[in-house]
Amino acid sequence: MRRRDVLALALPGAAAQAVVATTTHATPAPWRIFAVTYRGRTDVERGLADYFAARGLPVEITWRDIALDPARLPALVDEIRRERPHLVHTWGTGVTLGIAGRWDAPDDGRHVRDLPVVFSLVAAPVGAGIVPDVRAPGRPVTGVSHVASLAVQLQTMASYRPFRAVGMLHSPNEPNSTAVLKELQALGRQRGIAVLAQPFHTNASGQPIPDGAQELVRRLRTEGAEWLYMPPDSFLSTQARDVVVPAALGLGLPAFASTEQLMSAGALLGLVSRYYNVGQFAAYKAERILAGRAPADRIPVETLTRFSLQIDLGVARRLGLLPPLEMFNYAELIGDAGKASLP
Amino acid sequence: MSAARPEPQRLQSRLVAAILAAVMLGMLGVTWATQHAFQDLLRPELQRKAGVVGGSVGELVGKALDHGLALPELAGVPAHLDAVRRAHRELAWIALRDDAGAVLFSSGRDDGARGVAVPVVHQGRPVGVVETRVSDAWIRHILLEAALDLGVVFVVAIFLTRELLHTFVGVGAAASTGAADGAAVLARLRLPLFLFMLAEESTRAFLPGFAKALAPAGPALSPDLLAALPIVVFMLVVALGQPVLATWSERAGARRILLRGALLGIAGSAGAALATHLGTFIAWRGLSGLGYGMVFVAGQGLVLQHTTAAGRTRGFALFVGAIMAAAVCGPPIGGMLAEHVGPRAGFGVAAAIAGAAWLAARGLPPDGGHASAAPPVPAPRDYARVFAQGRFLWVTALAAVPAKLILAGSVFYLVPLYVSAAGASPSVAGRAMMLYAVALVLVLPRATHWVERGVPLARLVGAGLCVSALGGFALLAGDGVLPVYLVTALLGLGQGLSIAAQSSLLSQVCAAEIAAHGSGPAFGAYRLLERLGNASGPLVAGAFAMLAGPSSAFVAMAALVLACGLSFLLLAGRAAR
Amino acid sequence: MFARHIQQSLAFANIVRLMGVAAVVALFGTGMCGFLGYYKFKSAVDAAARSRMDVPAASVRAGAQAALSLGLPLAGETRALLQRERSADPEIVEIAVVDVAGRTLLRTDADQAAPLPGKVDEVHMPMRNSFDQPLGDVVVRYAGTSSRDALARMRERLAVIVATGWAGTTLLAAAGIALVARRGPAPR
Repeated sequence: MRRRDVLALALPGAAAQAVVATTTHATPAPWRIFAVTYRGRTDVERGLADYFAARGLPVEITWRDIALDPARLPALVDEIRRERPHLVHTWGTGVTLGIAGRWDAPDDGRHVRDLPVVFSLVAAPVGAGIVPDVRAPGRPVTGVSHVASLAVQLQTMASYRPFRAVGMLHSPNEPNSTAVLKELQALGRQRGIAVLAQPFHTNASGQPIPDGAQELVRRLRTEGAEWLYMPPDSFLSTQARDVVVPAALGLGLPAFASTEQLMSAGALLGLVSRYYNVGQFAAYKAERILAGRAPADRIPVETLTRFSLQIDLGVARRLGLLPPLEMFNYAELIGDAGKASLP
Repeated sequence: MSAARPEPQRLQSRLVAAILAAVMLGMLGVTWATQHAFQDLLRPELQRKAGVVGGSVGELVGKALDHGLALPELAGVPAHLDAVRRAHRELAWIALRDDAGAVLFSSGRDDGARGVAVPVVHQGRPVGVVETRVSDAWIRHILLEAALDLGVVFVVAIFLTRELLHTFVGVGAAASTGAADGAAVLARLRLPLFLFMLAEESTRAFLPGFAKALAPAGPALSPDLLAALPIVVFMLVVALGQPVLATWSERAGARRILLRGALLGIAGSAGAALATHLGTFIAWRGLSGLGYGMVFVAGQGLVLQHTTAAGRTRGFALFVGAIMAAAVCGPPIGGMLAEHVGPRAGFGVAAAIAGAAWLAARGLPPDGGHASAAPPVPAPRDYARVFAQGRFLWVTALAAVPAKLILAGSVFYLVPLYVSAAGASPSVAGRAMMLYAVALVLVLPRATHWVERGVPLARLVGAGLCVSALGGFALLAGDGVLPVYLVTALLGLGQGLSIAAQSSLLSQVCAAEIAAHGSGPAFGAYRLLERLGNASGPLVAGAFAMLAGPSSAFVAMAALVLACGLSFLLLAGRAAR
Repeated sequence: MFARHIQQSLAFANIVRLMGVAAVVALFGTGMCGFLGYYKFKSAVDAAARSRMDVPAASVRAGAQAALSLGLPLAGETRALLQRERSADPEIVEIAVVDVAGRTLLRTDADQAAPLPGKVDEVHMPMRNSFDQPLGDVVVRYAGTSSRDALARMRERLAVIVATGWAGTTLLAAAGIALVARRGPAPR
């Protein structure tokens, strides 16, 4: 009897699982990966392909693009089930849900349930219903989220400018947003930070509307918010550039962006994941599955450990909140803080 | 004219005091002068580094300026400068000055001394200066860290002085009083014995670490356990060789055996210094063990030959005294050598000291016709008879063997292993081992006094064993190096209590046996079991260490020995009847 | 009278032996002081040189790490960074970026004019990518000539200090011994 087997018998639970996991069979080369994109090949896909190329791993990637049209997804599901690749890679929440479906939905034959799926750029995997728990997906779907953990984001904000109260606008009909709000409130209680939240006004069918958003921002300011935290909220993303951020700027309230999209709307500070790195991390997880080092349902959904800190110097100058010297070491500086560049 | 012969003790201690007072002053003087040399020679190096650090701060400031910020409006500068000073603790002061020289931001204290100034350049023009200054106090502090080591050196100097004085003044006194050359021979024996034991003891602080480094990494073999093997082999060779070597020394002449043993010791240490493979290292240690056994046996033989029954106790006291002095001096010096120059240098120095021992041993008188004072080697049936006696087993198995087990296991093996696992240097291990020997030396006279005063022997032995185990439990309180000192100090204390009483207790308990067959079989069996305890100590401790780590191994050894001690005391009532 | 003569000459022999013991112990004490002082100095100087080299290493690491994690080619901006840092400190012989297997990815051009230094030390700074996997190391190789000079000067200085200390201690000990011997219960 091999020593590994003896150990597996002797050790309890999780340890035994780990031992067994190492004896999972590796997929024979070349690995066939089906990659579904939303809007063509981005840096995510470049990172994915480069990872395998740099390590000399033989892979055959089949690229399929839905060109912003979710209606094309069912046909791709059929193709995947016919071709049976070794692994599927998906870009974004929409594509992932279309290919793999929700974790709690019954198997209705319209999704890929029995092949490992690795996703990239899903902001809220639990909120979107892709996995029940990021630490243990429980099904062969795992991947990389591009939004840093809330704790890391708060830490970044505090490093720029310490604060005791943070404001947040959110859409009450988006479960992601509500989940973030809950987590922010919990963190706030832990660290003695006041969390001031204002939901967008909604119409009769419960959908958020932009009316009165400026007033909401003003209210946050008068209640004492020192930062405006912008969560990965779809409606907020549409209103940030034209309504929310200008209102905040006018009131001298700095905004923090949790995604690249929100950053480009004029936030002062943002923590973004480089798409190339997200793709590389996704490829890393894919390699672990394909090489048999760990089964897909035991690989946690993770974020990167190192993000790009983006600072908009023009906004900083306008707000009179210049970045601390330390951040010039590692931050990505957008624009210029020269007084001459002010309008 | 009958000169009132000066009380040798008082004169001796006054001489020791005089020499040591001078040595202390000398050491302080050298340290003071070294301090000045430090300031002169280290400062420029630190200033170069300060310049580089200042330059990197300047570059960062330049980057901010390139992005449109102005020097006075920079944010978070004091925090950054504080962080830089935390990373480079020798900087007392960092400041950012503008082009007029005014201090805009700073960290630390400005004591007005000269600093290193690096210009901040923006678009080709200097717009400010980053000034850094090195702290005097930090430079002073470096040498102060050596204070503990210097204290240790001084303690070693005390014991060294006493040993040397005993040898030379002893020789002189013996010659002047024209005493029987027994005393002269003993005096001449002291130095080579001390030097040889010193050579061996000096390797203790770094030997397990060196063995572990040589051990091959494999999935089945634990380097911790493999590191115990050199010690085990050494002890086994000493234990099993004892009877054979005794007869050999008897036949070939003690001086000859002593010299040959010293040569083997030199070879063993030299070979160890050059060993690249654990197997060869173990082989060299075996050779050293053989040499050690030979020297030990020959030394004992010489004491027996040249003392009468009356003076034998003093003779053996000299023997033990030399070994204990070596146990105080050896480990810390070896540890310091290993820390700064490396373990191979440590073995090399040990070989050199063994060489000095050999030279000193040549001063012994040649082996003449000797009184056959060596007892016959016990036969197996003698051993069988002795082992069958319950009281013998009670003293040996429950008291003597556990004492050696914890000595070899916890002190010789675990201490260096744990210290290096904790990230500290061999000097620390050496200090801890010295503490063991110092505690033992300090307690022994008091304990002997108690024995003479009639304190029940079993109680002393049992109490000593229990006390010696207590130290191990200190590892439960926390990690770090401080508990280790407690382990060795309490071990020395406890063993001091036990050792004083142990052999007397054995004589008492085996009185009938000794009366019938002489002390040879009983004590021979006793010493053999003790030495086997020495050999198994590192194995037991190594097994614990492999299973649970060095920290827990200390606790396990302590628990084991405490259990033996308590059982010993519990059975003491029964054995007395 | 004769016995007294023998006693005196033996006493003299004893004094000489005592001085010898004093000399040995003094050598040990002052010698160990010098030994410890030298090695403390050596570790301080070596640490200063190493952490001085950490500064350009950290700077190169920031640039190379960023370039590697973005899949950008290392030549160009990163190479310029290497050259810049190399020329900032004359003691730096070479700066190289190596991957996890130890292969050199990028290296500064060797300075043809400078003579090859005797002994070269290295500082390694590991690089990690955005999900904490090792990317390789930045290696700064430097000559450490100023450190070696400082050590040589310290050795000379210490030799003088220890020799003086030894002599002084021995004399002091001799004085002490003489004092004790005189005050010892001599026959009167």
